[in-house]
Amino acid sequence: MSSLTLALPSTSLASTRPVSAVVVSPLPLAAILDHHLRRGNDQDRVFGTLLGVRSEADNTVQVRNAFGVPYQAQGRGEVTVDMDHHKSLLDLHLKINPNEVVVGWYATSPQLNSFSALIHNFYTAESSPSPAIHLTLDPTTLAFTAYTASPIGTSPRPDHLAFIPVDSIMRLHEQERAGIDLLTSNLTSLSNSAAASKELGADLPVSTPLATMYRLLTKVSVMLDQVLEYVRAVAAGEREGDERVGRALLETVGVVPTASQPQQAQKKGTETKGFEEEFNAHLADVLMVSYLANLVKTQTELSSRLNLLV
Amino acid sequence: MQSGKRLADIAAPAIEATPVEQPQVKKESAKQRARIEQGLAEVRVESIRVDGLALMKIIKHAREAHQIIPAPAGTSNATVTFNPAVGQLLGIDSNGVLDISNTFALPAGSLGVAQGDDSETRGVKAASKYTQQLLPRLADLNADASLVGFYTSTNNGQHLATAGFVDALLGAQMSGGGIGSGQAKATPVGRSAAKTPLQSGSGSKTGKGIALVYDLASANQGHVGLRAYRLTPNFVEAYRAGKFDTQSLIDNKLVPTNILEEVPVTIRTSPLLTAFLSTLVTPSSAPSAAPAFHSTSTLPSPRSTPLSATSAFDTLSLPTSTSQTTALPAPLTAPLTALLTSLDTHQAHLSTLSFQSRQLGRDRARLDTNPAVQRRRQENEQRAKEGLPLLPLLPEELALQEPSRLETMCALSGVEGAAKVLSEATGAALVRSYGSRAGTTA
Repeated sequence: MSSLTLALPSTSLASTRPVSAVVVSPLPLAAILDHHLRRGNDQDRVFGTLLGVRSEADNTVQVRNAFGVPYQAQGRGEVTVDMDHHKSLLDLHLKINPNEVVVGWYATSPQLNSFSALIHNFYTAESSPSPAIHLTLDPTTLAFTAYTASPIGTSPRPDHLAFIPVDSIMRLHEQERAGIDLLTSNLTSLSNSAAASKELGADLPVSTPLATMYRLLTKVSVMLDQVLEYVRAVAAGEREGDERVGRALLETVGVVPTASQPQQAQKKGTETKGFEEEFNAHLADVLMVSYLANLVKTQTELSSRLNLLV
Repeated sequence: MQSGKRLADIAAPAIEATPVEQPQVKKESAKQRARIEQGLAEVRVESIRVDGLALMKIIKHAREAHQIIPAPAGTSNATVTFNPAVGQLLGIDSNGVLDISNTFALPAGSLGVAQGDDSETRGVKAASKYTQQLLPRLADLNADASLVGFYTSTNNGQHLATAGFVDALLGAQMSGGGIGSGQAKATPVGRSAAKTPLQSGSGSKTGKGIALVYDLASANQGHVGLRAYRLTPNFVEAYRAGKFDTQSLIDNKLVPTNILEEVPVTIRTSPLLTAFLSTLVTPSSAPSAAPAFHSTSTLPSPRSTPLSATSAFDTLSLPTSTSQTTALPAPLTAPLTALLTSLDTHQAHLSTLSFQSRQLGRDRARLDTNPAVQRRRQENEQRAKEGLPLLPLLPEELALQEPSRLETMCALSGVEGAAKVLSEATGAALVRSYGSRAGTTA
């Protein structure tokens, strides 16, 4: 028996492995759109630097921030890019957040041209040893696509690059969720009619906890209505049921706790009592904390007024 | 830029330009002055409109940079300090509405959190230097490049108790700009005895120079706690006098709740951003297809995955339920701990104050036995009877000043803020618990 020894080539370091996915947060995209809105009259696209974090473990690139880089198109076939701008903005940015490094660049046009290759070469040098990524955001369809590039051709030339699309995922940090929810609160069909009837682009008030909760409950209510309507239509034979929807509904209903349904309440009286007790204890706790908070508030007000008298 | 200007000067016939330009400038400044004299009502900023991009930037920076430095082991909670995220606000005001279109972050410590006056000015100086470097770059990108205020992060309503916040807001308000832009005018007076009278710039008239405060704890409760503040005229008056003793507080009717006045904030997004956000949350499938159980669907581009909608409803669940993998919503313990911490801080400030008062009392008693002081007092009484002007007090007596109550007041305001956040959280918690009951008994 002869054995075969296999060894990974020495080039399979993290920096040379291909990017598996690009994770984008909404902030850089919003910044890109803002930059696009502020472009000069004679420009059809803008580009700039993407900042973010590379994950060595699963070869993903997280795009977390972006800033624009101005350029001048001079006739055909010549573009002057203000790389001084890029350098100084990058320096300033690194003072704020040294973790975010250059990961690539963006452009607001879905078309790649030969300038793309030249600019990409520059950013590859900036983000070395890791490969740079390129993100295009189409201002008309508002779709974004991420690319990596590799040189093609027998003799490598700077303007010969093959751009390969990479999977891009939108991901939101928990803490940023509330902000995005606020911004999109009157955009979905699920928001209540009062908010939906407001014209788009109107000013949104800053949310309070109770208002947020009200909005969410309204959403849930609208969703339940939709489900009920769908179930009714299927049961009446007006439309064909979807197996997947049925299964999802069954699972959801199974999750709902059935501690104190009327029939069970008679059989398992102790269990119901348990829930009631739990509930009352919880309520007492919450009310206690609420009482404490209001007490402290009153005391604060009192003490500050007394300060003025003494 | 400079060379460009010079070139333009050389190229353009200066004779033609100057006579036309000058009267215009003069007229405008005269008009402005007249407007300022007319009163504050006309141009005063009455509401703030924050762009969606600015909001996202503030939230991101606050999330990444806000640090709570825990108390060293063995000491009380009173030594907990914050290192807030600080940045500048850019925008423009028109017709009483301040539009904030963009923001940028400042390096950590720009609020002057580090101890000592020396490092404080260094923090502000560094911030203003950073600003000067960044602003022309933003102007190159056709972005708004005029400072209108600053933002900072806080946790559970502790903004007034954050060191340096009051000084920074005062500076911003005097200059109508951000941090460090009013440095020459606003010298911190509260602690140091230097009594330089603050000059009110045009900023204090227009009401520009505001502070946006983002409360990190709000995200745990599922809402956006963004508020805009401005110092009240009473407080500025007291600050200008440079003393916060009991008499000055009474004169200006200052209590912790009226140091700041709140300015209403609304959020707006540009149409393009609105369109983009709607691609993230609306179903793109045809309306005749199966009903949308999730508020999201695939984007036009097949390779991009949109936001998942389910976690948005975490706020509705009970904090104690174990099925939740995320930390949302936060249980009541976090705001409760914050309240206790702020109470401890206030207690520490209070004991310092009472120590200082006792010291003052002792010093006064010692002065009463001082023969020189007694002689001067008798002399003054005599002169008062004869109607002569009084002799100035002796330096020993002048040196005795009542301790400043500013810190105590700010700490008390921290307590109040924490209590407010806690009561808001309990309100939401009540709704949640009744919701869970409705879910089981229905």
